[in-house]
Amino acid sequence: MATVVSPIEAHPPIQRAPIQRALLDDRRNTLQLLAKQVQSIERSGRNAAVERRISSGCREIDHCLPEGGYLSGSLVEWLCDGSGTGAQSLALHVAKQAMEGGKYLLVVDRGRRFYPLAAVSLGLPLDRIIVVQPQQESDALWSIDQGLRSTAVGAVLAQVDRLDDRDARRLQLAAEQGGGLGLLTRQARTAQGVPSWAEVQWHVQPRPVQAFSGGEAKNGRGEKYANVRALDLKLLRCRGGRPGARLSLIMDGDRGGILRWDDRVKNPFTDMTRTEGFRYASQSALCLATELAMPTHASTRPVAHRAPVRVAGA
Amino acid sequence: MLQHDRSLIGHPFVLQARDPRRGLIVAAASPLARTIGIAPGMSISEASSLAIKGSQQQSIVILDHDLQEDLDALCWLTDATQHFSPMAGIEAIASKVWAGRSLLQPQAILIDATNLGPIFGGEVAMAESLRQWLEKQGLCSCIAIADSVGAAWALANYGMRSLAAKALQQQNQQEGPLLELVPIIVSKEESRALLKELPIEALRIELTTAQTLRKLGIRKLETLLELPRNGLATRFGASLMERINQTWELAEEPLLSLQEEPEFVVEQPIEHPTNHRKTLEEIIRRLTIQLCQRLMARGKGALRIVCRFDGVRSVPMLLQLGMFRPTAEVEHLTSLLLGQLDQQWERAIEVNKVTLQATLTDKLTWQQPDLFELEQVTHRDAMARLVDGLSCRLGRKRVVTPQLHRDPQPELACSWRPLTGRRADGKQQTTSRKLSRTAPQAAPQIEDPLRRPLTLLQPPQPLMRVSTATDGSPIQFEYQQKKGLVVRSWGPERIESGWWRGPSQRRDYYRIETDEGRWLWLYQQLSDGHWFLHGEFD
Repeated sequence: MATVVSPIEAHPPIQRAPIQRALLDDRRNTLQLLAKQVQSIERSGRNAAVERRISSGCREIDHCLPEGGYLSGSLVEWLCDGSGTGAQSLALHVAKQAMEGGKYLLVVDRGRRFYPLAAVSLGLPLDRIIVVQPQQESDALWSIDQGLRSTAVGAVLAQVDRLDDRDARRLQLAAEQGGGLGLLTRQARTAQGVPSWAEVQWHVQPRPVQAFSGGEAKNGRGEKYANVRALDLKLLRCRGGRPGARLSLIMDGDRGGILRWDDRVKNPFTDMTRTEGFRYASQSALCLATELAMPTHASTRPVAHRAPVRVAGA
Repeated sequence: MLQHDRSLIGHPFVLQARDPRRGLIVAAASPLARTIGIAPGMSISEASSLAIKGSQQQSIVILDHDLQEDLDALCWLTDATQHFSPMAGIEAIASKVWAGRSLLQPQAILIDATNLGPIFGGEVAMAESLRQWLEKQGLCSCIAIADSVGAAWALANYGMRSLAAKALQQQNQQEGPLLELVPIIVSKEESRALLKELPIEALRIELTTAQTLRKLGIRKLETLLELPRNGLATRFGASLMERINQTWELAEEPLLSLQEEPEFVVEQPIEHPTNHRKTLEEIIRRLTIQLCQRLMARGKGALRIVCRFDGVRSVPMLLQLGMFRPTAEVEHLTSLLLGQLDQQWERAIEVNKVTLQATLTDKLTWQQPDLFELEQVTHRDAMARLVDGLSCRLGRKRVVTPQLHRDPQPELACSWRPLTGRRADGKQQTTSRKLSRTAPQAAPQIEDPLRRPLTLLQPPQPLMRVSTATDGSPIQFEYQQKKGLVVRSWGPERIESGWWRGPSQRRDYYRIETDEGRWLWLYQQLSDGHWFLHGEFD
């Protein structure tokens, strides 16, 4: 089995003079310190150490997020074009993780279209799903707000069409108060490019599998997928992290809806281990820090990333 | 039912229930279905064959009868009738189903009207205002006032039923307002004259007793009463004699009130009628404190609360609350009541008395939680408060939990149950406890995750210009004036409803992936070949 190790571990450390080494350590510490400061500015004073990390249910998505998952007490948005795109399924995977420890899922379903059989087949406990079917849009927003304020609710799942700035801020404050996750699916035509209070915002684009791997979808071992759907994800916004990551995911219909990872990825974090992901984030933060210090001269491009070395059997 | 689902208007529909002896039977039939000849108690297959013979153009719709939902509606209605009498309850049923009834469940509301006539300006005026109030709720009522429960029951059920059926039928044909059914109000002598003409089923006797009597040629009460009582008692047992006593001799029988003990009722008369909001809010606060103290003293919590504002010359204003878990928290209940008052403030009246009553209570659970359960118990309590708040503002039918059923038809595989106003074990009142032994719930079917869509369109949306491959799978379709090209499809998954449901539904379902990557759930109706979009894999 191939294991990814960092370049420093792969090569024996070069013997350097003690002063140089001390300088190197000092620079690394400074970098980390700066990165943390930038993250804390971006995260508006929220303390990541206190908040619970909630996995997205997919390792690769977690890697794109600075904390390795979504932080409790925040809003996550999935933007999509039209219906049948799979955005809600992604949200339900997160909800499943957020319900751990006996917490509840509140589904605000204004259109009375939520079909719980699909949620059950994803492994969500039916006795902890509460569905609210409001008639008015204002009632729907109020229900989301109330759900997020409750400490018993692990996640609130809702489809929101229009969300003005004030309402979005209200929901974000409610989430911070209750410590749950607000999982909102929205239409890209109304939500994209509009300021958002969401901690993380994804754009979900379904892709026909025909356009994938030349007509057939395969996993890393070359096995064919028959019952899968493919989704392209783009990270539009991520507080404390760097947006722009792109993922191509496969939802496996045969093995319990686990999100699978495709080989071809257009992600700057390609083939990175978790620690390297953080290092990339640090480098991004360094760029931003430099830019802030010398806005005219600093380069906005991150430091070139060295490809990791794969060592078989290590 | 019609208010709930507008698509049923114009269609004959019946509700089916499972009888342990006879299988599926008609629990209730709509007026239109009754015109075809369908009656409650009939087997579903019989009803289906009647429907096929009777109507060439319309098919009959068969839905599941939800016993709990029915009981809920009856209980809430009984709670609300408090402004006519302080003593209101539902009928006490026996262990076996009565002759003439198809279901073993209470279906009538009993109100103690003793000495209440003068308050309303006479018994006629009282019955009339009750009828008008029920009409406002969209209900057609059969009301009878008599000297005993038995006589009133017999007259309301058998003296007015044929008239009510005619009225409903007429209303259905004319699409106009409900026809007025004049309530029966009788004295002791008058009641006897009317009772004589009623069938023996009006005595609330068991089905086997009624069948034996009919075999003996006894169909009317008049004939039965002519027989020597001694012989009847030895042949049919004491129960028949008791029923004759209650109905004919006007013997008294207890009225099982839905209302809890009188100690859970607190009231505050107001000397000068007012509609000053702050005053009323303060009164609600004080009454809630009193009620909670009484509840706590008995170790109970309220599951349903009715707050009544009596006006000088108007119909009282009611605030009805349902709770997820029994509670006696003053702050929580006050905030819920004030929230309701806020919503109904437009209908506020000049109030001269405020009454607060816990109509359904249960034991407060003070169990010591296990070490590892502590977190879950905390979540449950917080959830109860949230659900109460949501139900209070949005209405209890809008805060629901899903219930799955073993039904192949996707739209019937799931139903929604309100969360508030019920006991934790689903039991409502003493009279209905025996009835809660319903069939075990269907365990969730863990199918592969992408088999069923996450959103179900109700009703299914018709698809236009569908072209199919040789194996019948769709290739292209048009929906909302947009063309969709099918890239991959899985199916067909044939889903058929049982023949006993009436005209059976036969559908071939396909999961499809469009050229845009969207996943949809389509089906072809095999009876006419039309295509529909039924769900989206969101």
